[in-house]
Amino acid sequence: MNSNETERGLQEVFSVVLGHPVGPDVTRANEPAWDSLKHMQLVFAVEERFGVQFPEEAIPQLNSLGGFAEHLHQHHAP
Amino acid sequence: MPNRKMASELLPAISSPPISSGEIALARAEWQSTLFSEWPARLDLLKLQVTWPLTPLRIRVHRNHAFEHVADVASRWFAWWGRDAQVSYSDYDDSLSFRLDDSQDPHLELVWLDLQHYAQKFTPPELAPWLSERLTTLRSLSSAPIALALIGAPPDAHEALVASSRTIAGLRVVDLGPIQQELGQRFFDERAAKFSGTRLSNPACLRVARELACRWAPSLTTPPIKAVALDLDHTLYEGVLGEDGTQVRLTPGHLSLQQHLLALREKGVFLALTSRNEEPDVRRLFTERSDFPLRWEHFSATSVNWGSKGESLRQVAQSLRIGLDAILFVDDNPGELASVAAELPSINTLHAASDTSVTLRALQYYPGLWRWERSATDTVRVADLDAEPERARLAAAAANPEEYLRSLRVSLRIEVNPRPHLARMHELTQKTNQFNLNLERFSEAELAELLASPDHRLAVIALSDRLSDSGLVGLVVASREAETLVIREVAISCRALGRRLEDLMIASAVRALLQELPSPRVEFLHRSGPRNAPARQWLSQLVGASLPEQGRSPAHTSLSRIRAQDYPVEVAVIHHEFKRD
Repeated sequence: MNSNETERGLQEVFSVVLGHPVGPDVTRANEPAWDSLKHMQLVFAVEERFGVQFPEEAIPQLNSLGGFAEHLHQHHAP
Repeated sequence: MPNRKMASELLPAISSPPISSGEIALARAEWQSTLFSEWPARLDLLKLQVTWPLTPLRIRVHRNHAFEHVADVASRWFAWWGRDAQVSYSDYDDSLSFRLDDSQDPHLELVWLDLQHYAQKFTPPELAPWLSERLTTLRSLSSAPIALALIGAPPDAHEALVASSRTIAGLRVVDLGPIQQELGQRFFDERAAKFSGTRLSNPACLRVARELACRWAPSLTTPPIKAVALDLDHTLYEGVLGEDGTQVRLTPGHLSLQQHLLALREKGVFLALTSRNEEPDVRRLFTERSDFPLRWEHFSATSVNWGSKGESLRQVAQSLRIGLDAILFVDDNPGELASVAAELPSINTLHAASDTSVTLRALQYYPGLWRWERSATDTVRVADLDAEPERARLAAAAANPEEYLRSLRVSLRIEVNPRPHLARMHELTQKTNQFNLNLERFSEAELAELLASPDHRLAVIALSDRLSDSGLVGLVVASREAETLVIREVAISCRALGRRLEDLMIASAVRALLQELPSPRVEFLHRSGPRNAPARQWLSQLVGASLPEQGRSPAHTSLSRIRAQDYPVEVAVIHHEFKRD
């Protein structure tokens, strides 16, 4: 999966979980619906979608869609 | 609730035009493969868009750990059931202070606790009495049913917690054990505990959500499904029945489905057959196919003909003496489901998908089919109705009503203060529609309150004859007001009607109640509803006057004319001890 596909996949996941369409630049700071409960739901849904499991120490660092994408590429590249 | 209230923001708003009952049946059928796959995915569930109207179901969650991960996905199973789950939350409150300030009463109270929080506060023996006291307080504040869901019970303490909670009316303890057993180490996710206020993992949240929306909430808030009406071809087996029956194959999936249906029957759910076929061919199929767990005689009602399924289902409802809303119709043809739903909007529908594992799971989870417990009456229900043709034959052959009753060897048992039968009394007030005089739909908590009130008495009526034991078939609720015994409610199961015993059953129960609350006058409260004409006709005949839409009718003189010695029926009366608590 290339980085564009990953980003598109993440955008879909984020839009579904947050309940409205989001762009690739969405962050925890600029998205009001992204609270601590939604954060864990995003983690759950991204893990389901990409078949991965984020380590505990990575979870608080995943504060943007880009951050999720970067982690997926660094740690779960095919 | 002092905390934020999350009125259902879980489902996308519906902006499309209203859709028909048939279209709803089709849309629901399409959801089945997502909702009832072996491992439903959070993302797939959240993608489902509701296009049909929903009825609000208010759930008040008293919790000490997060429930939102469950509520979010449960909304889709709730929607499939036709409910908009509107969830309001307490603070995270280990003390269970139950500060309730909702403007509307909930339909369900859910107590959602992680007992690990109490490990430092209580020893295991101290926990059960404390929790029981807190739940008793909630009981006194709300008459809604209560579901208690516990995780992290200390070893050996769970049973004690369950036992101490059983004494609280209208409370059921959720058993999360099977989910924990299935998921093993995946039941908890310590990452979730750190970042979102619950230790439950994503798979555990999904499993709990399905249980809540498909089993726990429906069984506590709505009348049960009483019958499953089945199509044949591609539903109970693979293939189409021909004259020689050779094209029909019982796959392992269809075998499991038939076994599950048989188990439902043993739990008191009627099975019915609605098929477009020749009846002799169908009978032959069930005779010849010894590998089928289901036999022709397992179907309490059959309608095998080339007419419309809607008409067949009407006949099934009439034959089983139940409403269409108590029937689940299963068919492999989505067009048939849509056509039936359009003709009979109140009926429940389920698609028999080509993946039989999805169909089986949808049946296992169909809202209203699963019950917390099966009463003795549930287990006798099917056999009782199966005896009806023989009763009809005896009635036709008898020279008079007395001979008919004598041939049946009928016996009645009246029990006053029947506290052990609280769940069945609740069922009778909720489920009886035709012989329900005042349509008071008491909750279990309200009935428990009446049982402990010195000015009220309740009686249940048990009926049996030589053909079958009908179990507890009637309830009479009375209160004393000055010089009058006011009969607030009379509810009799449809199964007990038609044996010409209504006069004797009710008069015997009222006499037993008068022994405990002596009063010179007796009055019946009554109210007109959409389906309770039989009860109103009975009262109207008894008092010899037509009834207004709603009111109270003096009946002490009329009742005194009903004499037990005129009936060849054995009547036993049991007075249980009256207890205030």
